[in-house]
Amino acid sequence: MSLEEAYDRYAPSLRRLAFFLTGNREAADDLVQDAFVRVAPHLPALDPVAVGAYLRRAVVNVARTYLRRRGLERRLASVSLRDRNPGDTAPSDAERAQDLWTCLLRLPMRQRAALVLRYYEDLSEAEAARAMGCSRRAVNSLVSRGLKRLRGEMTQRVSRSGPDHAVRGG
Amino acid sequence: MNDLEEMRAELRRTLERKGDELGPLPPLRPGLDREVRRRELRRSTAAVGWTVLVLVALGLVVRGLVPGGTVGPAAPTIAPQRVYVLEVAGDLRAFDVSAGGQPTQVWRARPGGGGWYEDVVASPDGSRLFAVGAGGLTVLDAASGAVQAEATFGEWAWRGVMLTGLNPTMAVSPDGSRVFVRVLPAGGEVVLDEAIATFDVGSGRFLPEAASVTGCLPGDPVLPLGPSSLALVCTSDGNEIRFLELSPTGGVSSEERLELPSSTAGVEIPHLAEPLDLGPVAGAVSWPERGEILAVTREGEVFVVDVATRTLEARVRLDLPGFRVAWPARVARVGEELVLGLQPVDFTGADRATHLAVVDPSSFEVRAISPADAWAFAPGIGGGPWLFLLDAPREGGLGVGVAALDPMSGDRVEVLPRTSLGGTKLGIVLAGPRP
Repeated sequence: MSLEEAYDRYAPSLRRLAFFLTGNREAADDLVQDAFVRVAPHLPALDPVAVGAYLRRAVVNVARTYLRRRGLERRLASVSLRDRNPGDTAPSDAERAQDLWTCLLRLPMRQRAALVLRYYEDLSEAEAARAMGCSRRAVNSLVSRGLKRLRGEMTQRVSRSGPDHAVRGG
Repeated sequence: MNDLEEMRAELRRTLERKGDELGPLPPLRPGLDREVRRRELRRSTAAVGWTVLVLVALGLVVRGLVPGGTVGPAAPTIAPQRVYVLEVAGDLRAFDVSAGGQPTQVWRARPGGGGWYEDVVASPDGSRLFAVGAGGLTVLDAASGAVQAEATFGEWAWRGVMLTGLNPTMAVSPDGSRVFVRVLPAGGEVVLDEAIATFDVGSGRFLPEAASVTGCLPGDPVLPLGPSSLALVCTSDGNEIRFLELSPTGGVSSEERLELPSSTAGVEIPHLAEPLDLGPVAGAVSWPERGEILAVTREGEVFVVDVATRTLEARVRLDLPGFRVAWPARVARVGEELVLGLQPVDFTGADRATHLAVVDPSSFEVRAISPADAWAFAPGIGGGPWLFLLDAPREGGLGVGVAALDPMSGDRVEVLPRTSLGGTKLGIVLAGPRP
């Protein structure tokens, strides 16, 4: 598979993955291209079936390095949710989605990656483990912890905003 | 639908919504082909630079020693010994050297099937050498260079050996019965899909399976704890020690992980244009009698890990004023002391150790800091005060040599003159009795 073919085929989904991992559109574009730079020399020798997984893993690696090198993981974790007062009206779907997005970015990178790979990319545990370079058990644990933490933050958020929303949250 | 399932569905909707907010996909950036070629060039250049490994066999009859292992007042000299050099071209050469004399080549070897050797270690008694190349492992008689056995890698090997130059690609179990070789499994990713193949010395064969250590980096220290037991200080995720028990066929039968506190900054490979973040732990050494692993960070913090309980016993900050631990981390046990390679904190040159620190592993007192200027160092197999250095050329200098250094006194003796080793850069220096 040529570099151009691989880019046309895989870059759109890889770009989304990079965006979900970093929360930054410009960085996502750069990281996807960086991943292709890394993988390009190996493309001719790769089984075409494996190219997608190989690239996905490269994206996870470059995103992790990007976040760690810039200390962004800690900064993302400290991003605050918007304050909501007891008298505020119920959040719209868009507001709630934004809150969930913020909560997702506050998660540790590995938990975020595990959730995105499992529930957005629809990967099996084994495929997600391969993309993240860890065991299936670790993926299972990361997903479980990430999901619980997301739910906890969202529930807490909704509870603060009034009883109606608490019902909605769970 | 329970609340977690609802959360999953909501998460998916949110991600789809956020993904839709991304604009059109930018094209491949101009010049990406050139970036790919430059990256490949960097990789191959680094590999060539690190292809050299020097193995010094030490006679351990060090003139100037007095009983008790301390250095006497006379100028130190090194008795005749054997020096093994794995050169850039992949030849393994053995020299006999005498104090003050020119080295004499005793034998020269390269793999029978072509290619070249990429790494070599000695058996604990120094009688045999284990050398690996792309095709497999060769057992050589250290005295004559004669091939005693050859073993090819199994089907799991793709590129064979993980050539790193950072830490040894190979390690020998404490009893000498097994040799562990870091390999890339077929189809694996270059950096992270690593595995450890086990060569059984008794049968002269590799075990049929390789132990997968996915997620670790090539420079991560492998510390054999027994013939079927390993500790791997895995830094790709920052700070993790994996304890592996191998099955009779060479796979992983059990694995435990200990996460170390991540309080220090990561290490980046300084001479790559695109540094790899290697996490805080820069090097490690096992200490079987104490049942401990000592993992050292770039900033000079030592994690003391109990092997039996696989717990963190202590963390101690060393007093290294003006220095940090050199990268690639040089950490060795010399007798009953820990020796670290250091660099000044403002050092911006190549990744060599400019100084060596001697540390008491009980009190963690820094007992001495001596100038060294070495690419690599390692103690003699039989112990003793001498460290063997792969002598780094100074600015503008050429060639690499081997020197012996007593890090406590700072005494230094030239073993192989710089002009003897052309084109060498990094390597591991070991020492053992002359055959």
